[in-house]
Amino acid sequence: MAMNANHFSEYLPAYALDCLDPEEKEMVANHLAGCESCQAELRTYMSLVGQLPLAAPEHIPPSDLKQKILDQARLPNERLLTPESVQPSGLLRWLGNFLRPFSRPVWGAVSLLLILLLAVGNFIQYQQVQHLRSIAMPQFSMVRLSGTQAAPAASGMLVISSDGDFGTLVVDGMPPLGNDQQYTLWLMQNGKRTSGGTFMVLKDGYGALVVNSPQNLSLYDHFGVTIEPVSGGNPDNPGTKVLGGSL
Amino acid sequence: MQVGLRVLDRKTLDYSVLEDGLLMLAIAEHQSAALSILYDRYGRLIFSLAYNVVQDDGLAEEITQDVFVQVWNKASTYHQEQGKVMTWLGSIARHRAIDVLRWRHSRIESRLVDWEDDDLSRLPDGTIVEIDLDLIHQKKRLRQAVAQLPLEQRNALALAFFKGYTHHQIADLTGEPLGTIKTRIRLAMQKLRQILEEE
Repeated sequence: MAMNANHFSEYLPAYALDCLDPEEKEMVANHLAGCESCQAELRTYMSLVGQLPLAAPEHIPPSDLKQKILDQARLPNERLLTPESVQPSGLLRWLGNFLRPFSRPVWGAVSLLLILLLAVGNFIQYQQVQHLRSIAMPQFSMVRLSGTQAAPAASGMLVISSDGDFGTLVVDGMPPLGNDQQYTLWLMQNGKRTSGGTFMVLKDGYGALVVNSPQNLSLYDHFGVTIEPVSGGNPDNPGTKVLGGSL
Repeated sequence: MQVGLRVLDRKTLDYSVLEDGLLMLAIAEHQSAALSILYDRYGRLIFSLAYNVVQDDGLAEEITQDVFVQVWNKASTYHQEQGKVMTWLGSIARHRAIDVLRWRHSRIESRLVDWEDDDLSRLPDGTIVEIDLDLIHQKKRLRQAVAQLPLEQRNALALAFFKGYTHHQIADLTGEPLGTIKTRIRLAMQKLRQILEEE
């Protein structure tokens, strides 16, 4: 196989498939390290190889495989608020030792422990929202939403795709709502509000929403979340604001 | 339901409408519902790829399980500049399956593999959303492109892709000259790239 004008074009399809013999593979790898033209061409073949599984003869996986995967995935990492899954912190261990003398009757200690477990759960979820901020994702922009005086413990993160077409809101520490209330995300442009959707949160104040904006999300300059009646909010007279942030 | 919202109900986020990159973000945050949707989207594809490499149901199941559990544990390491999520998953599955194949068989297998002839892909389980339709369209497009290749090129490409054999190993297996095998694989790849670029 010959080189073409000091390039290795003819080797690149086989290099992408990883079917070159070791000596040829090393030779091509050395050339690629300093040749942007061949690197660009290789990317087109790598993309092709990435699509080839679509042309594989289809076989149906066992019906229980998905559940096995989910069960295995949940084991070490899922947020299960059980005593076994919550690693006791130094504070918890200290409290455990402190409460030991009062173990009969134990209800007071059990109640306190349950409250602590819930607090730990909320803290873990809060950390997850915080962690979103630290993930290096040049393809996404993030807007941090801070709690207002009406909900100082609330926080949120709006993740917007690089093209501004997609957005996902994740919130935590939100106050509980009545049965006739819901949260509304407002998208604001020059002071004018447009609804980005309504949502509820779990009992622990954690929630998420896929935003489907009428226009590109990058055009908005401010985002807010308010408490509105289930019947719908009025953009000119919104309810109590609990979260706010700017792009 | 409010206009513009696509949620199953007001309490449950519908991950099935998320594009793959956002789904990976949610998986990185250990949202198991997102992993469930990723499996619905690509589980059959990964199982099929693994099966065509190892030709064994049990091993294909183990490999598929490994791939998705790895995604669950390593989703935060995925970045879009590494390529599409499907490409990333396929690459993990293919290399894992070929490793298993090499571990089990020190000798070259004489059993040939081929590509899917049916360009009308089976529909995924459950509700079909726009993203699923895109995948079905991609499948159809690629299968039609592979079907246009001469049989000798299809076979050589299948041995390289599904079995991870080198030029030399394929030449030994088929009894064809080494140069012929190199040419068939190169022409097959160039032709596929050209067909897909033209569309």
